[in-house]
Amino acid sequence: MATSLLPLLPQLLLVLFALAVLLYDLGNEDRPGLGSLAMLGPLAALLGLGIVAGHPGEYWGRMLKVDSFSLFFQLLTYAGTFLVILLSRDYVERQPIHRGEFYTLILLAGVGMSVMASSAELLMIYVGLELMSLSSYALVGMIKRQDQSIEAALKYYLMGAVTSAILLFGISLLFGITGTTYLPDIASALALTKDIQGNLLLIAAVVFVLAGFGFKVSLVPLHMWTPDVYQGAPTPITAFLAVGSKAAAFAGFIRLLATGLPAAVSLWQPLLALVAVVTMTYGNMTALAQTNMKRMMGYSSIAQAGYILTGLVVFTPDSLAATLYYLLAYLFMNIGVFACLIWVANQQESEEIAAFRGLGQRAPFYAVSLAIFFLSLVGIPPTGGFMGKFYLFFAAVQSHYVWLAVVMVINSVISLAYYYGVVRQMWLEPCLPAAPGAAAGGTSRWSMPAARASTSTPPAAASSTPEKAQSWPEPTKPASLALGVAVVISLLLVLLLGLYPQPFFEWVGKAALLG
Amino acid sequence: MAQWAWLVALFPLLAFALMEVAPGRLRLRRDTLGTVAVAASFVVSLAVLVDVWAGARAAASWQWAQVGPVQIPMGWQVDPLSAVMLVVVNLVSLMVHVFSLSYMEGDVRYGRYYAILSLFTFSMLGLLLVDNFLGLFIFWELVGLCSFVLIGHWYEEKANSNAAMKAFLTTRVGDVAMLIGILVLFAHLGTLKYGDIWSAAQSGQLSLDVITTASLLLFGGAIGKSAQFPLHVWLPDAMAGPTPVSALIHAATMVAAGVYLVARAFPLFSLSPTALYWVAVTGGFTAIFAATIAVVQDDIKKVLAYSTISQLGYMFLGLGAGSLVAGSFHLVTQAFFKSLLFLAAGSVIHAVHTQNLHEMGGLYPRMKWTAWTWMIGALSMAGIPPLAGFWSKDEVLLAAYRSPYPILFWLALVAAFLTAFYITRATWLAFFGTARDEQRARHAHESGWRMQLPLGVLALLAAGAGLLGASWFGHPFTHFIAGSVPAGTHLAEPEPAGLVQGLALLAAVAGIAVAGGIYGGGWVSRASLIRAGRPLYVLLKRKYFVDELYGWVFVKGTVALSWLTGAFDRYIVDGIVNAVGWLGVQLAYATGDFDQAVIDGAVNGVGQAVEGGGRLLRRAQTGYVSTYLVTLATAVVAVLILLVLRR
Amino acid sequence: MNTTLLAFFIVAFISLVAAWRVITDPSILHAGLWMGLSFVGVAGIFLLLEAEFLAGVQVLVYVGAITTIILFGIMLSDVGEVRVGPEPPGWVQAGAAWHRGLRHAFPLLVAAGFAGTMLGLYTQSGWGQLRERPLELAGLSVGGIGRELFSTFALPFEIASLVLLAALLGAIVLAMREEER
Repeated sequence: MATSLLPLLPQLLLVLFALAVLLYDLGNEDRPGLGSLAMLGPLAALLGLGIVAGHPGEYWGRMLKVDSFSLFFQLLTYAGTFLVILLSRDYVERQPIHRGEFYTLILLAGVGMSVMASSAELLMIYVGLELMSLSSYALVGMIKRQDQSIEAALKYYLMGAVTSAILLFGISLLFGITGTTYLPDIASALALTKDIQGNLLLIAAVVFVLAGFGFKVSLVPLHMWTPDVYQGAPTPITAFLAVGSKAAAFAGFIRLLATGLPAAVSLWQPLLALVAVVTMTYGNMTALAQTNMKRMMGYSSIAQAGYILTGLVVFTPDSLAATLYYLLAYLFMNIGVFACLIWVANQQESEEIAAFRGLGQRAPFYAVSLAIFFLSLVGIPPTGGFMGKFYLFFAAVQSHYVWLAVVMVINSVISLAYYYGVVRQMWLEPCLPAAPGAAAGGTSRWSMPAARASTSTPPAAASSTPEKAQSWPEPTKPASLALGVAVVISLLLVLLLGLYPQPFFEWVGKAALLG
Repeated sequence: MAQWAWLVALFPLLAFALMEVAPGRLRLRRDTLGTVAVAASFVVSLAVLVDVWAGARAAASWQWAQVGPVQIPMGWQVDPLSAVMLVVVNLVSLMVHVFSLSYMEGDVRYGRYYAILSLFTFSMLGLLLVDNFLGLFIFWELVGLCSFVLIGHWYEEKANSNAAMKAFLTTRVGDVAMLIGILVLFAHLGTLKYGDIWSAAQSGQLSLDVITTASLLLFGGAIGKSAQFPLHVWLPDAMAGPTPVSALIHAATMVAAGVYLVARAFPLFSLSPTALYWVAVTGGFTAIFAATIAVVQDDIKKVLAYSTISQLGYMFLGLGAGSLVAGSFHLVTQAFFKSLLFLAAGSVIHAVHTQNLHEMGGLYPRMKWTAWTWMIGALSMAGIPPLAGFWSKDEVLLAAYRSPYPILFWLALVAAFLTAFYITRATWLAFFGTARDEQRARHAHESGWRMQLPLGVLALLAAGAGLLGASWFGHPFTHFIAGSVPAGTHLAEPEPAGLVQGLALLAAVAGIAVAGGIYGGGWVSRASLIRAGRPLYVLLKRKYFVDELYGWVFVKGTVALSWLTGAFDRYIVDGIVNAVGWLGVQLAYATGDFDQAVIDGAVNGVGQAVEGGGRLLRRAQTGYVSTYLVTLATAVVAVLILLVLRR
Repeated sequence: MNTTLLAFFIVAFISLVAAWRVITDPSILHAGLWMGLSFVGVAGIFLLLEAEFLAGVQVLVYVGAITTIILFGIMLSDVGEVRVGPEPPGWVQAGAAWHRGLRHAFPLLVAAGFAGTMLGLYTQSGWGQLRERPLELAGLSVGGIGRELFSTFALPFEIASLVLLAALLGAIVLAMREEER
């Protein structure tokens, strides 16, 4: 038995820490070090992962699969879980949240994600998905005094339950058609089927399983929960949904399509191509109109799901590797954005985009970091996001999906506009009005009719600095170390992925073989 | 020395890094640090140029990453084209650094200004040095970012930050095409290195269609960066940045990157007559298009901005006509005379605190140095021999004359006339005649050696740099620059034609004379002229309404589309969402009790709040879970039925 | 038409009508009871499929436990009827009559479309080898299911316990009355 428990080591460790946090939190007192204990969980799991990495294979009656693909996504999951807990440390202090249950549920969701990633068995993937989902539903509603939070949890739960049923229906159809839920067996059964296109039941099965996963990664038209839930959820949980949930769902998605349904590629490829294009365009267009930062990130994450999906549409080893690479970069850039958002929300008590006003002067470190994360999300070098997009574009063009690459590039230009809205708040919109004598005084003296005409004259007379003249409200709460650490980690990795992609390329290249 | 060329880019990068991380005292000396670094770069680049002129080449490459079987290398190279450009960029950058010491003195963000200037210089040099398209694209974006930050330097005014965004977004439209062009090449050849691509293209590995497509897509990037029609709209607005920045980025270096790109990819372009044709047509059209607008501008910097667009058009015309030399030679001379004009304009603006030509006048007695250097730049641009502009413009005109489309020659000739006209007009309005604003004119004065020295140096080059390509010395530049393309590349070397030189000179002199007559001699009053050609005047004044058109089509269009999808989102709260549908949420609010909310949600969810057919789409996202659920179910079932029926 | 088929139609009809009433009955308590009936109907279908064990589990767990808990919850939380929300604006009421019809018709249309399509699909051949090789799991004995659960499906079975833990935790945290801190 000991040998068969070994491949489960990371998940077991995570469960162990989840239970430890739960037990330690029993009783009414505030337990010191609860967050640190929770953070140890994913760290221990990472260590365990290092041990498991040496034992690839299939265990537990083919229920558990340890391969480079599962190792990749497990690492993504544990890193994401760790960072999310890091983001939560400050947050839970300031919100009426039950910390013990909060951390426990995050860890349990992490277990669910890693289960989804490390099996080629639909039953396991489904159970993992449910574990992740049920934990997420509760996590979204954790701020019980905020109606928005409860409302979001309700919506997420109801829609999640319905799509989960649809997914299960699809799985049962697949089982009905092939007599198995083990993906490689499904693939070989389908490979024997002569008329894939004409198998109507298979069409139904494919549509239903795609709907199930499409909901989790928020593809249009199954995206409707995303903005509401992103806005209502506690911010670290929003980050968790954006990176953890999405990555795990994509892990299941890729495993399903690449291992289970490669024979039915002619069925799902055109459908997903259409969905990818609609998703990224819809997400980007709608994000333009948002005023709430979390809601905007919700639409942004819809658009990003569209980009990521293109890797599946193209469906070559390169494009799958590009998908994984993009997910890796996406993890860090998104965590970074949310860390900055939490920092700002702590200071300003607001999550509106307007709260970022003047951040460039108040906290240049966070402002510059956020700008870099945005650049990465848009896909501008030298960031990880650029490398990821470039890789995706390359894979698409190589397989003659030039039109898809064109749509993606055009979309990334559109996305520039709404990220820029935030950047403008940070730098280009100082707190108004400044001391009237400062910058404005110089302009009026030159008596130019239009403000535009005077704009490039040197403000020689305007040497009294507006920076000093403006008085920012003193930060009411001390800046948090944990958030800073999360930003620094994310920043380093985003830049590393952009500047030195080689080892990561090799890694995702191997993982994308799904062997 | 050539093998040390990478040092050129290293110095500004180090300076930038030091400025950002170094604590305390060093941070206070950012201006010195930046200037010294660029000076060092300049010295090295000069040595490199001498070396390369003597025939040396250098390159180094290492593997950066590997995608599947495909290698992505990163490396640098120097050849005649990049060696010349390195010197030009470093020189102009150095001059701008020195000029800014005085011009930007006391600025709110003085330190940051120098830091970004260093970063820009590094990126621009990197762009020239890299030996592959991926590196090119990365630096291409970096210079765009620096340009964005510097245009918005005085971001307290909304117009400036808008201009910055406009520049960034507009150029990115071109970048879309360029990135796809790069990917097309990459996908076909599996390599990004210039040399490999040229040799593959010349050995016939690529079909003509692919070459044409890739070239035109790359040219799309050049159109954006070099502000060619129809993506020219950002450059005039970019004048919102500090004037030295305009001189460096928006006259001499970054905007010239597009020309550099086409010159760099000339081995590819030259294989496709279609691509060359479009390059020539775009360039020729833009040259005359922008020149006509420049004629009526009142803002001295806008005159120069449209003039830059027009001159860049000349360069593309030269390249498109098949002459690598014409394009790249004009690129070099334009960098000198245009940055000179910009810096001189900066000196004037610094003295009189206005950019409006009609508020200047009569400055010559008080600012002789500035006036003379300006006039050297102006005459050089107008094309008066033996100044630099004459020789390079002559090459362009000659190439157009000998090209298959001589109509472009006549267009360019008219543009030459207009060039001479508008620059004379600006000269007269700024420096001569009566002072239209006594107050300003009386206070005008030169601003010290830090501003005068760069003017002097650049004036010298604007006058003399043309001799490099002069027929008197047997076109040394021509032979030199030909060394930057593989041996097999077809280079048009047009026969000299006395007619072309004569006509060019005639156009320049006529332009100067007519403008001098109107503005200096008072042949006709400005008012009557405007009255006579009212519709034309309005058309030019409003820049052919291109901005308005874009405002309508793209900005309003995007806003409308966003509104439409946004309406999908939350704004359409039709009361028709039936009363019971409301209830689930209401009840959840009221009691805060999850169980009830779940039950009510379920109760309301499936059965009740559903819409009639026509309104269905509009209401796709109203925030009510019941609607969400029905939409979701409808979507899944609809897709299923569609797929089943399609079979 | 043999008796099994007849029994199936009766049981299925009962299930469907009960399910329909769950979402239309204005009284939540009644809705809960309808749900119980619907579960019983499903148990009946299991019986017809000769899956006696599953039928038993269905009755014990779904009817016995879940429905009862839900009914308790409803009665304890003291919400009898679904109240009507705020009055819709006037212009809305004008078109209300027309919409009322569609409002009910549309989900029915979707459901009918779905049911029709699926019925059509089931009649198609596509079941692969399954037609020839009847599902081994169907009609498994209690012992067989037990053995399967603790051998082949041990891992998902254990993870399902974590799912329950997460659900339990979530439900407790969300339902717990908030004390003022």
